[in-house]
Amino acid sequence: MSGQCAQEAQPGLDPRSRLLCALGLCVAVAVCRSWPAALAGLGFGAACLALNSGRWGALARRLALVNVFFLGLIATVPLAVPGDPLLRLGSLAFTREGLMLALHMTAKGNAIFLIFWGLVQPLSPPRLGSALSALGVPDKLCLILSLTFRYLDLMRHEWDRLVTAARLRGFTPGTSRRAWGTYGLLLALLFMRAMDKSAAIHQAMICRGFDGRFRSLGGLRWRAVDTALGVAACAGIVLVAVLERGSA
Amino acid sequence: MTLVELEGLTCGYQDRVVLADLNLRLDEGQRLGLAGHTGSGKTTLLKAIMGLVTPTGGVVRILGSECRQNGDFTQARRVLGYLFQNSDDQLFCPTVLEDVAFGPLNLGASQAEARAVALECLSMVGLCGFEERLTHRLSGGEKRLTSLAGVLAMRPKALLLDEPTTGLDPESKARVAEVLRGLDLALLVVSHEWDFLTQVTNRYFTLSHGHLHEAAEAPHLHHHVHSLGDLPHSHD
Repeated sequence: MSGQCAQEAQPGLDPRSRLLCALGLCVAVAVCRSWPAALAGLGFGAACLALNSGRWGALARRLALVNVFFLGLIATVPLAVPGDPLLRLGSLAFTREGLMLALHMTAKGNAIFLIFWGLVQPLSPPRLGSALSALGVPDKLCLILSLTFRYLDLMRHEWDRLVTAARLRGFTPGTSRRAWGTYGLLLALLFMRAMDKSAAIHQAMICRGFDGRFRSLGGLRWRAVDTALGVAACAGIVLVAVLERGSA
Repeated sequence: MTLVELEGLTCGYQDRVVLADLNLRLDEGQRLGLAGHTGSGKTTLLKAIMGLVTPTGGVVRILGSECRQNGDFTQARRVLGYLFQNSDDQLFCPTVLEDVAFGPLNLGASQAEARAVALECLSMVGLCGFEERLTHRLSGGEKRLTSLAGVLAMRPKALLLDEPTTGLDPESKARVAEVLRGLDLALLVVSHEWDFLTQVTNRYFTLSHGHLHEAAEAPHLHHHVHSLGDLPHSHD
């Protein structure tokens, strides 16, 4: 057997400061209506990326995925907002006001995504759980977050197994009534197995002294750098407010 | 000191009797092995001791005090460590260190104490360096050893192990056996692998038709062509 294990202290920012700053900046960006404030938000997002080391490929993929959703908005919102028509599609008008609104939403959405990617994405689930718990989020929500992260993978494997088993017996995915019926059955089976699993997990938790409270190893330490991040985030929120008032 | 005592324990599901009028005693330092066919009630027996299934009759005593309701078993669960058959049921925290520290934190240890106990138990099972690994990405053997570390972190007096070698490769099995042999704890091991039982326990029982039978002589692995080849038996 090997010797005594040792563990190094967690370096870097306290997850609480990351969460609080992300929350404050995101709310400020989400409620702004002016273009300068939204662009400032994008600037904050870009600055926050400095706090998430590397993983540029993953960022590009996620960003592309987010913007597919916004492309949908850009295509549909201008048809629903009245105003100066840029082009007409039969009786529908694609308006300039609608386009500007959709682009504004896209800018804000991207800003919020970047802020989260920079500040919250680097947190491991246990650290996120500890931070949420320390910030007063109810135990039940922290537990759900922790257990979801742990068992999502298991559910996916179970679903893959079920679908593979069905395919091996001649099931072909499609949109026929029979295919939908089979999907229904597979989903029902997945829920049944998830229920059995949850009962077993609960028993295992009880055996290890679980009494409904979320406890974690913590390891949170607020340092000067966290205060500096907080001050920077507050300055950012004030800047958004000033830009918003200036363009009102 | 007697840790677990079962007297006339009867358990069943609907109209099927799984355990019938069963008696068993586990004393401090004893190492009992229990074998039986699938569905013979081995897991039900362990769950009844932990208070996870309600018996239809009989008495369960842990450390001399009778346990009937869920509340009575709370104290018992501090003394008895139960290793589940499926490690995925037991590893519910995202990372290894958090999972092993789960029990001590629930028992009131401070964060620093829980961390120290968790690190010590990980070192006991030979998993140093696994602290920040994600539990769902571990191999079968690593999952089993992490679960064992999690149970040991509760500082139990006895371990109840349900098929600890299921699904493990020979190397992992040998490692689990080595860890168990090195523990100074009472053991009640359920397994259908006699060779594993002979490595970690020294008294053997079989469970069939709801009754326990103690094997008269120490079982050993040998090859047979007759129908009792995989069951303990004598040749007189």
